[in-house]
Amino acid sequence: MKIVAVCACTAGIAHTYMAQEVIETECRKRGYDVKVETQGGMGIDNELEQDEVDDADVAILAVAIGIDMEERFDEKKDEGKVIEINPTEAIRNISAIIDKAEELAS
Amino acid sequence: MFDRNLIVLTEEKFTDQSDVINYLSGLNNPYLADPGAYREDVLEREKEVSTFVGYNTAIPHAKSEAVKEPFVICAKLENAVPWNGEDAKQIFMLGVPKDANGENAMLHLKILCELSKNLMRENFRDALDQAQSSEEIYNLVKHIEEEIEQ
Repeated sequence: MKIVAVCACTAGIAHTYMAQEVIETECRKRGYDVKVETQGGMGIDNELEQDEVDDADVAILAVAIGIDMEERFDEKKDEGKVIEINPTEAIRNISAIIDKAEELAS
Repeated sequence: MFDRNLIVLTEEKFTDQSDVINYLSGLNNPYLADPGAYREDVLEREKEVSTFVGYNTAIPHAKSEAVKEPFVICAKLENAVPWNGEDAKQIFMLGVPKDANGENAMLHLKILCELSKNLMRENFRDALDQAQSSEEIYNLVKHIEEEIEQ
């Protein structure tokens, strides 16, 4: 399975990167391909190309603010393959969120 | 950024998150221009969403005009404090200037980013848990900064 994600929080100094860490760790633990873009205080890192988004089985938007280039996910949203959560939820309940991603992908 | 004087081990019994934020805002902190304004900004941020992140850890923070230079206060509480109803024992209180620009600002943000990632790692949390002195805690967090600067 391939999962892509974007993380962004209000201040862009901590939660964004915590959410990135837990998503990457949990996906790798389960043997999934994962790429996580961060939009934080340091700008956009690890930017997702449109074809990477299109290729993914599921996209996770762990965001507390409006993000740049959200339109990359329009098609995925229409397919019902996007999970939208707050970064704090990702940090606290990552296992349940990846469980949900598995359900959406199947 | 990391400072021996901003590492706190205390047996103080706090009543709630605001009590801890008050206490930590009042430390002798050379990175703050206005401790009172910083405290208000942190409390305001805390009201939006709790900064409790699990693992008995909370990361109250503010990007604030009251901050001169980025800093991290590391506090280890002997007695857990109810943080929006959950038990917190490790507090990392962060401050970043409102208009953080330039190469130095990017380096500081990178350090905070690495600290945040480390807090999500079990081995780092265990090491923090086992640390008995402020010097040990200082070395743990300082190590993150040194790894980036190399």
